[in-house]
Amino acid sequence: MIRTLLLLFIFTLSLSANIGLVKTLTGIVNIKRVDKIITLNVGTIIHEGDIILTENNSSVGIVFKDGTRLSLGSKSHIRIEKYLFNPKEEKYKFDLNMTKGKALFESGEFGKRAPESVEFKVPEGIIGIRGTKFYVDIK
Amino acid sequence: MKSLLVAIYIFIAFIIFAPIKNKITKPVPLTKVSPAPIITTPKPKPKPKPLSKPLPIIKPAIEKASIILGKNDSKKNAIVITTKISNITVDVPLTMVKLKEDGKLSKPTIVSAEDLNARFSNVMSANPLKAYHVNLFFKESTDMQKDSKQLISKIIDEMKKREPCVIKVAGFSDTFGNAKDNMAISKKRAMMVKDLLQKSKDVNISEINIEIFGETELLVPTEDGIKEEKNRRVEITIR
Repeated sequence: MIRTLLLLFIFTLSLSANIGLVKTLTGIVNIKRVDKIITLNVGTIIHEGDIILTENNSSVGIVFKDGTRLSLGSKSHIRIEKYLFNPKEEKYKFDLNMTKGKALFESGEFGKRAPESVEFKVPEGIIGIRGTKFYVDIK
Repeated sequence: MKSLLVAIYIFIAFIIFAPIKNKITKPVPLTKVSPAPIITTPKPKPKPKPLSKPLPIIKPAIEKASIILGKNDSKKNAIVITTKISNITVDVPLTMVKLKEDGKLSKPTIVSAEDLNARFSNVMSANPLKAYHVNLFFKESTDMQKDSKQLISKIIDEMKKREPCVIKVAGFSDTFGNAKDNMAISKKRAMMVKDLLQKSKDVNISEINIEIFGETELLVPTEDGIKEEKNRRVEITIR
């Protein structure tokens, strides 16, 4: 019984952890997850809290559960601080924190259902969306 | 007793100087660089050196980030940039706003598509394909409409383009019959489509999810108890 519960718990955890998928990749891209460094491949699953770090001459394209697409250029740093997409309970939150590099962000269902719940943080400011595609270049 | 007095002095000093300190930390707009606003500080200023007046140094605010609104097919396409001192709404594609230190914002300017491409070519080529949406319609039960059957090969192609793909299959019904049966039939439809898509073994499917709606979400709004073929459907999303 306890084992079943534990399995169920792990299953639920893994479900909530899976928030996006690496779809395109060139060069070397790593993520910092808790205190581990993981090298990304096409098909790697992204978790909430991951810090994505691209190296020189590298890029990565990620699709999130709601269909939001995020692409990063070389030498970029971004943290997926919060990702909650639950249309059934109408719970939404998407926080990103970018400190370096270049990005293209194109919102999916978030842009239609809950644009005000998206916060894309950059040094000195926050970008809020109203159903959007935008580019960021941080020095 | 003595220490109590000292504490009272510190407290009074704090009350006197605290508002001044707040004033200092308040951001000063760039345009008001000269003449410099007079701010009294709690400490006495060091004696000015008897030299010629030093020229005021105007440092340009360091640029922290550039943000450009892209072109998008959706009706709504806008961003709101907020800093601790300012905010701006941008709703014209290819408008660029620069964020500077201390939360200052540049005036919006328009960039050319060529400049944007040159600056972001690496990022653009990494952008994954947009999600593919399609509806499959049903006659009765799990009998798919002919037009919809013919879409299957196209759907498989779209899956291949997005490998490793994530698929969402959502089943729906019309309002004819009772809600419970409609829930069951919409589930049957979704499961059938899921099996059909999973048959294509040469496609790398990362994940396939089922959602069941019964008669709760109609494509064509109708009264209860109405047969409507547009509502007997399975929605597929591939990303």
